[in-house]
Amino acid sequence: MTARKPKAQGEEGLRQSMSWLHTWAGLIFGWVLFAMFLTGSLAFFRPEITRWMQPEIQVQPAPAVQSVEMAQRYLDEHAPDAKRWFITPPSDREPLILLLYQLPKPKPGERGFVRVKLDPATGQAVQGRETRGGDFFYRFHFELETAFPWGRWLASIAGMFMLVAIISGIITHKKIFADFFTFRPGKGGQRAWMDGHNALSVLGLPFHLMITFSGLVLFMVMLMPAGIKAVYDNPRQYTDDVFKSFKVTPPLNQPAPLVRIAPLVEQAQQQWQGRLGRVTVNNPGDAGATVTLTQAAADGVSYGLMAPWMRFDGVTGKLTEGQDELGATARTAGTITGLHLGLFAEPLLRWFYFLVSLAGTGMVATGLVLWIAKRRQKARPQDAREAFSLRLVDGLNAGTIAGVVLGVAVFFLANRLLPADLPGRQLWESRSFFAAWAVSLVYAFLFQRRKWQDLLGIAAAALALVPVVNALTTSRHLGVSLPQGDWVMAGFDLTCLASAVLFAWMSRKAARARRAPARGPARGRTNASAPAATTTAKSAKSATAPTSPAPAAPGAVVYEPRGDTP
Amino acid sequence: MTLAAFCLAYAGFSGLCLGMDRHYEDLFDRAIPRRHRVPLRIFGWIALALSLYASATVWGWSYGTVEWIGILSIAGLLLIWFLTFRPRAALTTGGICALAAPVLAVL
Repeated sequence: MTARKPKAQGEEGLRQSMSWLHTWAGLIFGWVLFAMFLTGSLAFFRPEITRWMQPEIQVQPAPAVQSVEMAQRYLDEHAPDAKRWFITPPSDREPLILLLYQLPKPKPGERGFVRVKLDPATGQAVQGRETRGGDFFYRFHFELETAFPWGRWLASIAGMFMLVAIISGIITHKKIFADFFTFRPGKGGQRAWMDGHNALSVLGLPFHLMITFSGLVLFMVMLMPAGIKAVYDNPRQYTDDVFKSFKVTPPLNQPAPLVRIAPLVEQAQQQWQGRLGRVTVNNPGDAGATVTLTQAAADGVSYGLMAPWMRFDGVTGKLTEGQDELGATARTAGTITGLHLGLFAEPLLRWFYFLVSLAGTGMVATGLVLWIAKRRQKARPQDAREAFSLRLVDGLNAGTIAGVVLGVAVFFLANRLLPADLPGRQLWESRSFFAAWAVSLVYAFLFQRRKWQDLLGIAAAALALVPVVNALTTSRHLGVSLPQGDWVMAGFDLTCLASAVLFAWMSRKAARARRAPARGPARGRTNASAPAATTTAKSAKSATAPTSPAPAAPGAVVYEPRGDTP
Repeated sequence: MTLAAFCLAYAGFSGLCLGMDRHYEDLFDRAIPRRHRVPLRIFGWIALALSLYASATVWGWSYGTVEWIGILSIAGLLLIWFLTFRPRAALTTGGICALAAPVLAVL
């Protein structure tokens, strides 16, 4: 993909074939990857986004021991015959006590899990507006809103293409060191886009490689089941072996009162010198009850999916088994997946994750635009098929790059504007995201000439509206959140504003490029200084507290029902 | 200390950048002499290494390395962006960062 000078025969061959691979591997899943990268970036702020989306819930976190006591009291009263309880104590990122319990006899076709959020101060259940919050982005990122397991397969295949594109991109990038600091928007067209694409890719390369590879490792059990099939009769046994803290222990079917969990928590925290991430109780109220405590994922890089845990007898409170140190292999896998999930990241590092991940989003976007920029310069005017493919890709580019961003903004707007008692409210929120994306795509194909300018402008306007609508509909707008130092709310609104400014600027660039003596028809941003836009671009729309040097969310992610393997 | 790590990363990249023909020429309108190139590059690499050390003292080696890679990416992208529009100011900032880093580290 670099300018070619005569070189040794063999090397040129390899570079050229890698360049071909890079171009097409990147293009085919480019649009899906753009959406995955953007929603994945937002997912780093999953609890914070959820908090913004339920502004009526305002609580303060409480210590784990006290919260677990409160949770046990609530569950004793409301779910004494549940099969399993999961308790997530509050953290600074997620100040609520999260409860999840499994009903003994779910209705046919339902999984039978009930979720409750408790206020740690009162022990009462709190009810916010119905919304999926940050979970929407989190799940879209790897499931693409498609039924299990197809979405995961699609996302994994896209991830494999990404990995191929990154590696072939490295091989094909001839002057990776000589061009390390080079960015020449003044040169215009293909050259400028290429520089921007290179800068975003090379500078973020450690992150991009890590995130792509580790994303695949997260799904390795699904993607490469052969090893497990060879050793175990039943995949469930593998899961029980590797994720021992999740093991479902059978009931003895004799009633017996459950031990008090809070003292066990105290004991565990003492031993770990760390925080509690999750409590799992199997068969509460049965003689075969067990209580499993797992350390917070925020306590270690490798704790994302495999944190230290301790299991107690649920009647006597005796420690029965536990695991502090993992084997080398499990620890390596734990570190790789832990790096992807980023749950260990404290605020500053979380922002780094977010920003570099947005650079990755920009890398995909510039790559897509570059595909057009390269071909447009060489395009033969009479070639109808070529014109068609250019128009198709350009339309998909504009409709997706601006459209997904618009979708995110509309999703947030819908959260504030939909009536609180609308049935199926959370569905309408996600529908609004897809509707905005779809409308953008249609618009991009209808208005060939002005699509970039208009769509980027609309996205900017929608983003700018988010804090405005927030101010009109809630009492936690910037005027209140800033003086109070409420960085979850303020950070969110400010990030929306910042990205609105950015998209407005990109839209202006696109407009100027269109009016300037156009080299390419029907196209905005190929001109001169435009690529600067995407360099800093996609600089984002999520938010959190930059100041609150405190624990990241504990296992919130971990016990989501994710098919069969946790 | 985190700020020091960031300044060191930025200064290191500035040094490496100025140690390259193209960017040196952009700034001074002449080819880079050897007696500038070598010290600049050595300075650049040392600054990057110190930046890793600084971030490891704050976060420990396992977290520190991850943090450092993040710092490198952000510092590099900032430098490139700045360099494009204000090359002289961008590299001067690199010098200032190099001077500020020890102060920040002591504070």
